[in-house]
Amino acid sequence: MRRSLALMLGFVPLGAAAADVAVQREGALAVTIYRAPSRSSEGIDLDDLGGFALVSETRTVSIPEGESRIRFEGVADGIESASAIITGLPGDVLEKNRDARLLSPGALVAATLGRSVMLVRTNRKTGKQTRLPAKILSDAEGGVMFETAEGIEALRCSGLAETFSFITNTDLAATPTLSALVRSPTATTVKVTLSYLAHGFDWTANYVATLSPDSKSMDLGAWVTLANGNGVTFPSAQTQVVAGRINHESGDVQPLDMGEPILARCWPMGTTSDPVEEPVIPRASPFGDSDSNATTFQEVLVTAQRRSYEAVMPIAMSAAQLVQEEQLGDLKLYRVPEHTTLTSRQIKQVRLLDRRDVPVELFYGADLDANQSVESTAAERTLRTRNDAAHHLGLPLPSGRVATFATRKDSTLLLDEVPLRDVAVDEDVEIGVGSSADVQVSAVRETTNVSPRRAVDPPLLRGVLRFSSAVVDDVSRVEIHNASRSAIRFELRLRLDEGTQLIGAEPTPMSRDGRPLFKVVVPGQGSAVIRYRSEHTSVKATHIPL
Amino acid sequence: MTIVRVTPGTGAETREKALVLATNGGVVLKIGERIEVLRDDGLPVRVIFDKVPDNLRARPTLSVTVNSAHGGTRPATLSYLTPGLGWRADYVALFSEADSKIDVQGWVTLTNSSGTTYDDAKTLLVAGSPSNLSGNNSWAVRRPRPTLAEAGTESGTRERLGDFYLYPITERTTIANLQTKQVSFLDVHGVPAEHGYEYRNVWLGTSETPQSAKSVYRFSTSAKAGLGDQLPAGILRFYMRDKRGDPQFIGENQIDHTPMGSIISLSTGDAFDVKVQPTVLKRTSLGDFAWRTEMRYSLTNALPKSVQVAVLQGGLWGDTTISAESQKSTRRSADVAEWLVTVPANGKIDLTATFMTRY
Repeated sequence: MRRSLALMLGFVPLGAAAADVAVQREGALAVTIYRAPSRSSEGIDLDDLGGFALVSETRTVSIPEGESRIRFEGVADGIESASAIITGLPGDVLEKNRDARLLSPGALVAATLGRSVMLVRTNRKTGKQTRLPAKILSDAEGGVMFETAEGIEALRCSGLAETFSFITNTDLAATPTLSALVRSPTATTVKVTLSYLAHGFDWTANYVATLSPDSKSMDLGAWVTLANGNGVTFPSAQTQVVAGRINHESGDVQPLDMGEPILARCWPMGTTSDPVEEPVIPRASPFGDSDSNATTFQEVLVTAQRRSYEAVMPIAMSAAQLVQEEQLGDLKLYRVPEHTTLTSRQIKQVRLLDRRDVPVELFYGADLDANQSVESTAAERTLRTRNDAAHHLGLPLPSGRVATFATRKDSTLLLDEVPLRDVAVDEDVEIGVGSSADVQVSAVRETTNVSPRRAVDPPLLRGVLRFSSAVVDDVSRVEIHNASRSAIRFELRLRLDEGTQLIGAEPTPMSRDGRPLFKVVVPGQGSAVIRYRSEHTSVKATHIPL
Repeated sequence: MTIVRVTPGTGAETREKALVLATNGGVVLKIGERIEVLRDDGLPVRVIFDKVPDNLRARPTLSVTVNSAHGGTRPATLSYLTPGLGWRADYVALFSEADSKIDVQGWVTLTNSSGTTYDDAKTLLVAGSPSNLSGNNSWAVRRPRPTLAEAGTESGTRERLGDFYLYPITERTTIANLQTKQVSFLDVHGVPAEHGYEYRNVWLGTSETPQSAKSVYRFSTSAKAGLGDQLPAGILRFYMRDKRGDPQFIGENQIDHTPMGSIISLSTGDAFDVKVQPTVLKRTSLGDFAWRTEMRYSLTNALPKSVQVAVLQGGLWGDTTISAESQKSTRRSADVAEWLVTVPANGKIDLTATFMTRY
């Protein structure tokens, strides 16, 4: 009852009679970062992080007897307050609150509405100040009106230097505050654990594959790149990242106070000398925004390829600094071995793995629709390996990007950068390494034969519709020309239309994923030809004239 | 109105009465016989109004006009509907893998972005979705995967109003503007929960890379071996302890208003190690508009224990039949066939089925 009365009298947002206990952050801190559920394999942008994190921290709180409001300060800006879990509090937790009403110029005016303030006018030339009592008549949203003994005026519409000096003390906080209202039977000091989900975090895996000069093996290294886009630093935190796609509902819309400024909203201010405004039409620049990647390299390699070069060079590291993997339900948890400080707006990299001499198979390939004529196109180069111990791998590979480099004497060249999906143990891994102008693929349909079949009159529509069908027999040829000195392995995958059957081919194809796959070896400075015959039934409906 | 010209530098003031002729683009004034544009020269001019018109208020105001026989003070009650206030439930479930049980806490999450603080209010929350033409019903979004596996038929002890459940907040509370408030309403421990995997394939769905199966948790809201309560719509977050014993978040999902005694089946996300690769092996025209479709589902499990995966093939329209299959299926509905496939530890198994369709 004591509390209810106090609340009715006061304007304090919560629990006027409840003792207010502010808790600073201290003690153990743990941050687990989850990637954006639907993130493409793009790079990480601190201003647009789609992932989130679970933050757990321990704080020591002295709680007085009776009702008190425990305020947790220094939580992440992106806190999803509905996810907050507070454990270790004595007695009853009456409620948990997050107050987003913040102290801002507009909020100060709103809190002073109808009350007395001091209007301060300063002479711009002499600096002399005049102060006179005033009363605020409207809140800041539509411009501020005030009343003095002279009458009613609008703030800052006269061209004079004028402002308010506020007397009222408001209870508004500088940042959104998370608090718990508890009722403790005795005064006590307890250790409280607070954990919550917060957005503004993300992580990705950055793989660097270095292909050996003979293209038969590669060294695979990877970094976990994690980012904190929040304005809060997490000092000496136990840091983990979780791989795997998990559901995260984005419907959590929290009230957000943008903080209103005090705007002078005056009457129309047009004058007789205003120029007529011309609409500005934005024009597309043919070169895009000027690209000022002022990264300087000691040695500049110019490749005739359209990709930006990111300095992700392989760095040899000792095994002790790798992250430690463990199973978490159906997910993979990677622990950063030592406590690390995750400062505000920071991107950090920790070593995920280092594997040497991973056997790979380099092949050239094309993926074509059956019986389509295709003019000469460059074949795609792909590295294939298997994620098992025999291939010096055999560990879960979280999704990310793979940059493949080729070594040339003492320098390395970027071949390609491609996305990689989540790869479990014992799965095949294919990494695209660009296309090759030296290996050209073309396809042509050589012949088409149509043999009509007996027409069918459907029973219900007899005499109205007639279905006539024909068997269509196509022969197509695919040519592969190899201009390089060495022989290459080539794989052609055909996409057959529904109902189309392959009835003959030279060489004989294999079947993979329900699609024909041709494997041929193309000799150095030579060609190879794949010829296949397919058949499908074409159906045509015709109206029978009555 | 009165205008006060202030001489820059000296601060000397000259007062004049002015009549506003127009306010289009700029303010045109009539001062005596002269016509002027307000502050056309940019010099300071104060504009002083004598009074605020009666119909202008500091804040949006609702007023009533009454005709009373006698004056006096009397209590009045004002009731109104307002948008900007809303609530949903937030659940925290801690899953224990060792004994396959969950502890669930439920919180009512109340948000106020109505622009007003409600001091010391008696608060009652209504679960259900009363139609309100002005508000949009955010829970009416169609879920991609149903979460309610079996609707319950039990009644609890919660207060009801018509078909809505009421959740009163026991103590008077202040709902501040822009506040999110949480009040506990459910706390149960040791409820049995099953964990499994599910993969749904669309008709003729074929993939060149293995696709993760969904990780699914299933539990009851019954009074016996369940949560024993109606669940208002909201988000259920799953946690699990890592090897050091710290709870870690493993995914969440939305649940709809759920009656007591129901079975809930929630997907928390994709399984990293349990995957299914569906492949259309062959599709043959049998003439007379009939087709034979041979499907293969390759299931892989990189976990060191065997798992059971429910493979669902949807889109079996019309009188589609399964003429051959490597293990017996059940029909969840005419459109959906289901196989419960056990995949051995670190193993692989192929499920094949042949469908006969007509169109």
